[in-house]
Amino acid sequence: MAHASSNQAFQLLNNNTNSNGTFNNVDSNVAISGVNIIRKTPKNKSHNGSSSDHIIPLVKMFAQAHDSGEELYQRILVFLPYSSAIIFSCVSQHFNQLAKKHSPYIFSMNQFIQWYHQVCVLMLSSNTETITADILKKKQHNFLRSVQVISRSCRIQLLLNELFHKATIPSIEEPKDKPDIPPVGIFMCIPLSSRVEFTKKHKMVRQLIDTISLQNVYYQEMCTFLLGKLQIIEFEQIKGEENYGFSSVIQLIPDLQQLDQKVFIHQNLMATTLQNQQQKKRVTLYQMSIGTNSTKYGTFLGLSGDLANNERQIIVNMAGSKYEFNDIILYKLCQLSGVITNTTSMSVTEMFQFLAMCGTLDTCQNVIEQYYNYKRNNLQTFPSAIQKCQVTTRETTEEFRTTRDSKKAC
Amino acid sequence: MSETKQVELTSKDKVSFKVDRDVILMSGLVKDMLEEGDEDETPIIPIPNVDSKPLQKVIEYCQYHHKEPAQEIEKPLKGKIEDVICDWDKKFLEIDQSLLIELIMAANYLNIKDLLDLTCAKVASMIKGKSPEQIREMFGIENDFTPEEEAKIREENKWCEEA
Repeated sequence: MAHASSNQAFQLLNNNTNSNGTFNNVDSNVAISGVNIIRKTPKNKSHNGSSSDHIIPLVKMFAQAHDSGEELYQRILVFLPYSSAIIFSCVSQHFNQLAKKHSPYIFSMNQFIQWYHQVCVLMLSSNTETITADILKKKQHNFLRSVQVISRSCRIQLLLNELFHKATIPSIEEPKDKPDIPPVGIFMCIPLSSRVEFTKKHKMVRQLIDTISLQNVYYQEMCTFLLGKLQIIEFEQIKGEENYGFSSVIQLIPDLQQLDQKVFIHQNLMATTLQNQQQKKRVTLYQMSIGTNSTKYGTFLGLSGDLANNERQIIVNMAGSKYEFNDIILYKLCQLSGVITNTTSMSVTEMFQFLAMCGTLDTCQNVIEQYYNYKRNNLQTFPSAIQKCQVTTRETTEEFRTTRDSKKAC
Repeated sequence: MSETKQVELTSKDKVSFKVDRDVILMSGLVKDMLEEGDEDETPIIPIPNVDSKPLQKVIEYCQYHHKEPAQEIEKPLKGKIEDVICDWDKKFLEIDQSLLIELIMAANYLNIKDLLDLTCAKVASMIKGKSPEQIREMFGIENDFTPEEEAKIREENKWCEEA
């Protein structure tokens, strides 16, 4: 059978209008209008504001699918990434409801919002601290904003895709008795420091947060190490959201469950971008070194000897400052040593290993060893009790600037 | 060598299509009907909800993917749909929007999951990355939010749009 052109198709469908029901009215309208179906309709609206006379097939036909109409929308929505599903929800009230009902991402976000309100209520009812309405509002704003900032910097879309979208929506209706807490993934989008700050506010809040966090044992434990031992401070809140300092840690959360995974480097890119044979050799050595004894990295790779004195000093200075310990610096560290390129992906373990092998953060080695010891000893018997997070009080922005300026002056 | 059994499908607009039985068994609906019916030489199955044009496309799809099983499409779409489907499917989807929607309806009615996924993914790819205005324009959806509601929902989702 010959393939009909779109005009022929419209004509064919138009001819069928007389003998068929409303199904083909849609097409006949489109055909009569003689325009592409992609068009605006305001001028065609009837006086009561309805645009049903010139509605485009998607809506009309799905409406005629009766019971399976929503199922079709659901099938479409599961293909939409988080951001697109959100935008789709802004199209109209009807689609807003559909998106909320059928998009796994928006559903998750709703859970998060509910949890967020729950936390706020808990904060408000706290006996340990008097919180005025203004402070509460400010805290709510800061909390939500920090989520937003980190979400952007973490590329929430990809993160959520990875964490939530196991296959498809399991069911439209969630069980009624499901705890009102967000999935781990949403929680992970919140900066560590925000979480720690929240745990300080109220016992119940802490329990709530730890309950969620404990769903990922490695993550929780690594956070403790990161916060307690290395005193990594979130970078965004100090220098503004355009710097995505701590995002590298958050972004690599999935890797925390695969700490023994070998380093992933885009080999092809490396081959084309690294022209220096010595650098290539170094990369190879680095890749080989993953999983070996970290105390020998410096010697094994010979990085210290490769760096010029000023480069070495730059690394020491950068890595030595807790405020500068972020992905930008990590990138510079790695770039300076020729280990990575822009698109290299490093896991947290690899990050530590790299820093350790640079010989600038000796404590990293201890941290790694302690972590692995802990992992070995406690993997099967992770305590249900809340893990104690020791967090050094952060300097204020003003203090930080003063310190930084004085360092510069030196 | 035994002759291939055929089935005759009659569309809503009374156009008949003869198709190999094995091919059209990709349709859950047809499969059920054939199991229930008598062992006629060439059973005639009316498809009263599907016009000839989408039905022809459905048959075209079944004829190809009967031998070349469709690959599952990623959910959600991380990039363009063209990147995750085969060349044949790309060509197959080069149809106007009206037919695409009819095809979704037909796939749904005939219960052909792979075709339904393909066509729904195509619609999703048309929505993906578009602004609310563009989506409304594309599908003729009326914005029934009040200005206040729209401002509120915009504000709530502002961070996402900036991402």
